[in-house]
Amino acid sequence: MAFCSNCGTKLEENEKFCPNCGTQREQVANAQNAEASAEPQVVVNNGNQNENYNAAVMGASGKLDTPSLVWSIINLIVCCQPLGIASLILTILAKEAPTAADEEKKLKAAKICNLIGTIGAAVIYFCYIIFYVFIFAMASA
Amino acid sequence: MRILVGVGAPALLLLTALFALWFEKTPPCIFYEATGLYCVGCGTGRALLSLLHGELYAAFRYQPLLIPLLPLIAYCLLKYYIACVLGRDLLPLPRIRARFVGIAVLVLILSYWILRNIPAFPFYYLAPTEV
Repeated sequence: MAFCSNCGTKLEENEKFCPNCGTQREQVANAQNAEASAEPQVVVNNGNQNENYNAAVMGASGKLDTPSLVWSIINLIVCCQPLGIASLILTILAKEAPTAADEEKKLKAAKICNLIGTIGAAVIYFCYIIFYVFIFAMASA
Repeated sequence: MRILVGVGAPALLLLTALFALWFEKTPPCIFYEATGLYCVGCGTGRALLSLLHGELYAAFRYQPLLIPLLPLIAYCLLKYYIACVLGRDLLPLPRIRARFVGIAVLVLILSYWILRNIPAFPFYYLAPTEV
């Protein structure tokens, strides 16, 4: 699998030119594999270079999505711990995702986990408050 | 929708605050009820209640994590409230470029979860204690 170095469209094996922008296909496949396997051990002063290459070739941002991170932390603390952990891991995986599409997918999964956790917790807390007020009202009546 | 959130969110916040102040009660923690061990969020409710009363130190003893996290969470909630009501994203929240921040957060939270439960110095400062 390779991607157009100009617009990031996925190129089939037999396609020599990008069907989207017409740029000639470059030999980026090997570079991609090296990139993917080198990612965890990247030396600090090469970090920016690899990120720029990542973003330029494959369209992924390579950055940690802060709103998703904060929401995951909120979930971990006050809502649902397992879902909070799941969404935090998904957000981290989205940062390391090789393509923009993959990153979007992981961020969307993280968002769904966060949503379920937050709404579930909100419903439970709300029921707790209603229940408590109800009991109080009954007791003092 | 904008009006619903614009009015509803502060109203909900106010109602929750009033409920907590009136009854002096916070929701129980399912993890704690089930296992007897503190979870990450144990004490958050009591900490927020103490903050409503103005007791900063008590809030810190209930949930130390709130000190760094509450400003950040308040900023994010405010950002999304403004974005939803006014339609314009006024408060910036850039994506994090530095490596290992996500993993560091995960490790921090998990170790906080475990360390809170150790009844030894200095970890008992992490557990929710009444002052």
